Parts: sequence; structure tokens; C-alpha cells
Amino acid sequence: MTAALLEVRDLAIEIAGWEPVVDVSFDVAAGECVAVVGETGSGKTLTCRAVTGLLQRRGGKAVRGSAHFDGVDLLELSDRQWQALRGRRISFIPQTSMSGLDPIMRIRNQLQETIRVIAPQDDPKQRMRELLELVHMPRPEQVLALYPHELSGGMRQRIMIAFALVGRPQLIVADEPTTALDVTLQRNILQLLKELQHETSMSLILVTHDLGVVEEVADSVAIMYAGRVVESGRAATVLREPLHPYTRALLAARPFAAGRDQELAAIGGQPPGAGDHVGGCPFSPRCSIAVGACSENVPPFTPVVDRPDHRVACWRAGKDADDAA
Amino acid sequence: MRSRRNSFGSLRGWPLSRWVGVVLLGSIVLACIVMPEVWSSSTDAISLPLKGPSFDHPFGTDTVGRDVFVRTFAGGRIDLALTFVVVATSVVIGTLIGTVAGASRRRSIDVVAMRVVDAIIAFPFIVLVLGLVVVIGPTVRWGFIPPGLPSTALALIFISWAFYARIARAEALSLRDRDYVVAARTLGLSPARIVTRHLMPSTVRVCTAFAVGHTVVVVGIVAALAFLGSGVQQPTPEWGSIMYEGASLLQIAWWITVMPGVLLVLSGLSLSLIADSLLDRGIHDR
Amino acid sequence: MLLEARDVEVTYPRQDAPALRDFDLQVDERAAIGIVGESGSGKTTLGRALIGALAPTKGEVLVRGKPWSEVGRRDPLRRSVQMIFQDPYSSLNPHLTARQTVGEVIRHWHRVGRHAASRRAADLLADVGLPAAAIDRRPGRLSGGQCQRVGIARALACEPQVLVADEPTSSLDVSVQAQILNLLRSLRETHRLALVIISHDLGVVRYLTDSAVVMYAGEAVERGPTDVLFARPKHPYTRKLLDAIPGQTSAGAAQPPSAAPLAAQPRETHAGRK
Repeated sequence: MTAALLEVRDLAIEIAGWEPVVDVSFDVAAGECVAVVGETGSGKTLTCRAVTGLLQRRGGKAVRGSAHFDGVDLLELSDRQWQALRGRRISFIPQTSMSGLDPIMRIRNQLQETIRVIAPQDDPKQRMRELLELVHMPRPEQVLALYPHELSGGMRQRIMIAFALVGRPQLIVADEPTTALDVTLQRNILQLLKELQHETSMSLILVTHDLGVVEEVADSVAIMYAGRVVESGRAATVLREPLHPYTRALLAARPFAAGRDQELAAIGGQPPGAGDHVGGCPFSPRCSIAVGACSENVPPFTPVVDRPDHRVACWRAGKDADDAA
Repeated sequence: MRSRRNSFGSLRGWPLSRWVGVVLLGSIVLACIVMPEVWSSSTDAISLPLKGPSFDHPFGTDTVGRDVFVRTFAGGRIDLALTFVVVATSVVIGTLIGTVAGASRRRSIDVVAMRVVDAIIAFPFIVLVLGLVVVIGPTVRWGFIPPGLPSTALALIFISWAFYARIARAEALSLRDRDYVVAARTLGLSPARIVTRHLMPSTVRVCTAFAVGHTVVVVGIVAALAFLGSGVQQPTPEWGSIMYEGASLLQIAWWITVMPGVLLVLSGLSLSLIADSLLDRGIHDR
Repeated sequence: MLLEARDVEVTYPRQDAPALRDFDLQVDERAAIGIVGESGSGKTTLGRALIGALAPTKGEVLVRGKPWSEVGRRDPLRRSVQMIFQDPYSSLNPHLTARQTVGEVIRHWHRVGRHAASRRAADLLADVGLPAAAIDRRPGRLSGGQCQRVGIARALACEPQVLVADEPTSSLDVSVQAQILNLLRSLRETHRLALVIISHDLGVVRYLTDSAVVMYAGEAVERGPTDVLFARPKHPYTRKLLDAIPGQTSAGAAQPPSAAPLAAQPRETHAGRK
């Protein structure tokens, strides 16, 4: 079995004296789309930043673990070394598209500048046209002449994707690329990303909180809670047969999952905040099947019997509320 | 995650710069209150004139032979007290008027208030102050307050409130369409309540941050006015007048001008440090 | 009829096209109506107009037959329509604790003393599920879900008859959204409320409402009972919305992909739209 393009093992990140991310491990194969699912405090954004070398700016540092990308450990790279990698082999699409664009430059100029820096061997005008076509930008000539604030949300997001593609990256990390967009646009952008993946055999790490998005585009999924990965595996498998109580609860809490006259299966409480210390499994206070042992020891992240791709961190994985311990 | 841009570290929740500012200012204020009471010479006691710093007279003596040390600190009382009164009063008046102008639904209130503010700010400032002092009467005295002070104070307040009104109005305008203000109106709360409980807590905070920096300027102006002869009258000591006295004697008796000057600078510096640290914190408030 | 919108049109100053046009709505006692739309559909404008925070350029919004323009601040009708806002943090005064926020409204409408109001506020906050420890905290130290609960309690303090919720769960974590939706649903029963739920999230609308209006570019394009709308959408935009929900198990009933294609990215127009 070929080594994955990106192998993250036991990643732990420290910020301001505490560890918001602990023991995170997942793989991204070439051409694969991996969804990282989590809510506030899950650590998904920090994990993204670790993998794109943007941790220092947030005041964080990776204190344990490794992230091997094509043989190189990303966590060991200096800022300089990241310059060579970022935008060229690994690209990042941030959540807020406005902050990635220079508000006083026209799109054309920004794009040209980026092309010259990252892909100097390309003819800028030609490459610009190619990129806009790749992202299916309507009326490309007009768009190039605009300033960022004149673009609609959907167009801005397409531009951000175009920027990310300039260097023909092997891996794109997209942090909630469709969260701020309308539902109808969401679908278009997701389809676009999927299409690009197939055309260029690019890998994609997609951070999202929406399980519907996972179902739609992801090959694999890693579910994060309070800084740890609690379940991971092939998307279809995890969504069809979730084993971790949090995954199950997320699936059950969606409004579509309930009949009109039932109460939604809400998860009581809220995700732990910065510095909240929970003994044992971080989900135990809100878990419907937790027992004593759960709040004492952190469950290890282990593969499921018969399904090596599917891993769970739960002492009682797969059990229901009325099962015996 | 919010990042704290904190150049020199912090202690018990306050950044170091704020500690330095507070301690420095506190020491100066304390010295101004205490020194003139406990010092051996009084502000008018005559001794040998134009003597340099010595054990008896750490800041030397002036042209008449008075001890500059005790005069400096006695003068500090006036400068600092006057500054504080001026700034505090301007903030209160300006914030109230500005917030009401910004929050009011009737454009007429806003327009009238702002034209007055514009007129005050547009006027050449020194001319206005001097004019006001003349009109009010430079030698007016109120009870134990030395002559020259009341008119100076009133003139400065008259000008300063306008700046705060502008700041408060801008803030009020931006808050008007915030959800919680829309909610307050929808809930039927009275305009007075909305201004005092929902708008002013924010506008006052913004104005106060500005005020601490403004104090630096006022301290300087109060001293400068003495140069123009319209501030505090002789023989009451005050930094500006003491500095003015010694200005022509810098070659032979530098201490007369420099010593109060140093205190003026230190006061301004400590206020600046405090102002800066408050502004930094303000950015991070949700 | 509790609340009615008649031929409402709203055009913002310095804009050519109206944000909301030809809009009619009737809200009866205990009704639950959904307003579905994406950004630019006019739904936010509609919400503001319904609560009387925005005066329509044409047409009017009536509360029990009286137009908002005639409802004074102290008119009891002012209490009858209240709103829950989208961003839980900016909808609360950052300087007041939860108890003070709710207590202020109680003091205002019920003419009771400070202590009585404070106690009633605590009760109301407990009713909406705010933990006792959180009652004396300011919004900065509350979670999004908790802030939203405070906003709901504040609205309930008026004893309203209609609650207009503008994207009540969009800014919340997924695991907390369901809690708030459950809360809204049960409050509708216990407080005998009519709900107007404005949301782009079809799941929310499906769960909470009996009938719905779909909005596009400032106009209502389709309306009807919620389950009918989901099962047999007629307007191409409604179908597009339903299709666009990511994931197979999401849409209520299986629908064939929209047969009538709309122009490619019709809403990706630049400039102009607010």
C-alpha cells in the first residue's frame, strides 16, 4: 500500500500554556478528499494551520507528533522553508474570503502578481484565463477589472480557489469554504472542488461542521471534538454506521433527522471552552452512554475490529444507551 | 483565539506599561500633595537667589531666592488639579451631548449640536481661550481658588467638550444599528434609558480612553497659558509660570526652567502610558 | 389577525431596486410561518419591517389592525411583536448581565420594583434553560447558545404574541442548534406564541413551521403548507433550494433534480445589491 501524501501522527499543539489539540492522527491519500468535522473548540482550524505552517502567527506551536508530506515533516520546517512550499505544493483557502484579498488592488493585478511570484514560468495572462476557466467564473474579463468588494460572495470564493490553484498544488486545505455562502452557491462550489480534484488529482482537506457536506463530497472523514479525533474512516461507512456517541448525536441532531412532531435529539450542554479541563474522555459530560470509566481515562484511538480504516476513540464504541457496559 | 500584543509582559492582568504609568503618576501626585506640607521652606520664603541644586534646595532657587523644589510641587497641585477638573467636566458634558446627538431620531437636534461643535473646533484655539479668559476676567477669584484659575478652567472646558461630543456622536451613530439597540427600541424602552444604559456605557468608554491622552495636552496648555500671561497669576506657583520665569536665564540658572519641565514631561509620559494601555485593552473587548 | 403585511415595499436610500416588493403576509394566533430565502432575498428587511423597526416605502404592516406608524412607544401593542436576532452576541448589551437584560424589560412593562423584577428575570431565564450560574454573567462570558437563550427570555419578558426569529440558529454550533430549536418549539406551546421563522436553513423551517413563504430577490415566489412545499415544490427556485441541500438523507422526500434549469449563477451579480 503506497504511503499517503500526508500523514499526520499524534499531533499536539500548544497555545498560551494549554493544549487545544491533542493526539490527532489522520492520512490524506493522493487525490483524496478528507473532511475534518468539528464545532467550536474542536481544534480543526488549528490543525489546518499546523499543516499549512501558519501556527506561529496565532502564537501556537506543535509540541508533539509529526506531519509527513511526501517525506518531509511539515512541523519541522522553518518559515523560509514554508515559503517554498506554501502556495506551490500546499495551498490554503481561508474561511473569510475578504481577508485574503487586497482591497485596493484589482483582481487582475493581484492574480498576476501571485502568478509571477509562485509560478514565474507561466505566462501570466494565459494562466489567468486558464484559472478563471477552471473555476467556472462567469464573465471573466469583467471580473478581472473589479475590486474585491465589488464581487459577490460566491465569486470571491471562486477567486480564492483560483489563487490557491496558481502553483498547481498537490494538496489544498480549505477551511469552511462554503459556510458563509448561500445554499445554492454552496453546492456549486463543492461541485467545483470535487471536479478540480478529479481533473488534477489534487488532495483536499475540507474543514466543515456540516455532515451533509461530508456526505456530498468527502472520501474520508475525521470527526474532532475538544481537540481530539474521536472517529475517522471512509465517509460512507462512518455516516452509515457511526460508532462514536458524538458522531451519532451529530447525525441525530440534524433537523431533518426528526419527524415534525418529535423533539430533536439535542445534545445537552456545550463543547468545552478554552482551558476547561475535562477528566477522561472530553465528551463524557454530554454523552448519553457514558459510564464511570469514561470520565477517568481518555479512550485510545483504535481501529475497529474487521475494519482497519475505521477508528474510534470510545470505551463503549457502538453501544446504545440500554446496552450493558 | 485573541492574540495579545503585549510588548513588555504583564503583571496581574495589567500590562507593564500601565503599571509604570500608574506608579509614576501616583508618585507625582503624592509628592505634589505631601511635599509642600512637609518641606522645610515654604513657597514664598526668600533665601539666596539663583543658587544651583543643593541639599537644602534640591531644585535650586529662583530669581527672588524662593525654593524651586517646593514651588514645583506646589505648582504641580494646580496644574494637575486644573487638568483633572477640566478634562473630567469636558468628558461628562461632551459625552452626554454627543451621545444624544448621535442617537436622536430628530435630525434637528443633531444638526444644531454639531454646528456648535464645528464652530468651536474651527475657531483658532488660543485666540478663543484668551478671549474667554478676558471676558470672564483674568483676576477673578473664587474663594480659596487662586485668581486666574476659574477663568482658565472655564475657557478650557468650553473648548474641550466639543471634541468629546464629536467622538461620542460618532460612536453613538455606529451603535444605533447594532442589534441590541434595535432590540431596545423594539422592546419599547424609553429613549432616556437607551441613551444612558445602552449607548453611554460604550461612548463614555471611548471618550475616557481619549481623555487620558487629552490630559497630556491640557497639562501642557495650562502651563503654556502662563507664557501668554493669561493663566495663573503671580505669585501663585505653577509649572508654566515658573518655566517662563527661568526661560531667559537658561545659561546661568537652568534649574528654574528644567526642573518643572521634567516634571511636566514625566506627568505627560505617565498619562500617555496609561492611555496607550487602555486603548490596547479596548481593542480586545468583545 | 395578529400581524399583517399589506403590499409592503422597501427601497433603501441610494438604491434603485427595492429590497422587498409586493409582500403580503398574515399571521394568526399560534401560527408558525417560515420565511425561506438566501442573502439578498429581502428576508432580513422583511423581519425588520414586521417588528416595526423599519418603515416600508409603500404598503404597511399592521399589528392587530393598527399600522406600526401609529403605535407609540408605550402602546401595549408595542409588546406584542418581538424579535430574536441572528448574532447572539451583538443582540445583547455587552455591559449588562443576563439578569439585568431581562429585568430591565420586566421593570419597564410590569411596573414592579427592582428586586421583584430581578427575581422574575431569574425565573424566566431558568425557564429558557439558562444554568443558574450563568444568570449574573455578561454576554462576553456566555456561550452562543446561552446568549440566544437570554435573547429569547428578554423577548418573552414582554409577553408577546408573535415572535419573529431572524436566523435564530445560524450562528450556533450544530450540537447547540437542536437545543434552541427544541426550546422554540416548546415555548410556542407554553406561551401560546405565533412564530415567524426567517431562515435559509430548510431543515429549521421544516421542523418548526406549518406554512412557509419562499423568497427570491425581494419577492415571494412560492408559499404554502410546509410539507406540501417540501414534497411537491412548484417554483424552480424552491426546487433548486431543496436540491442544493448537501447530502442525500437531508431533503424530506426524494425529488428528481430540477427539470427547469435557471440561468447559470443568476445571483452572482456584482455591485449594487446590499
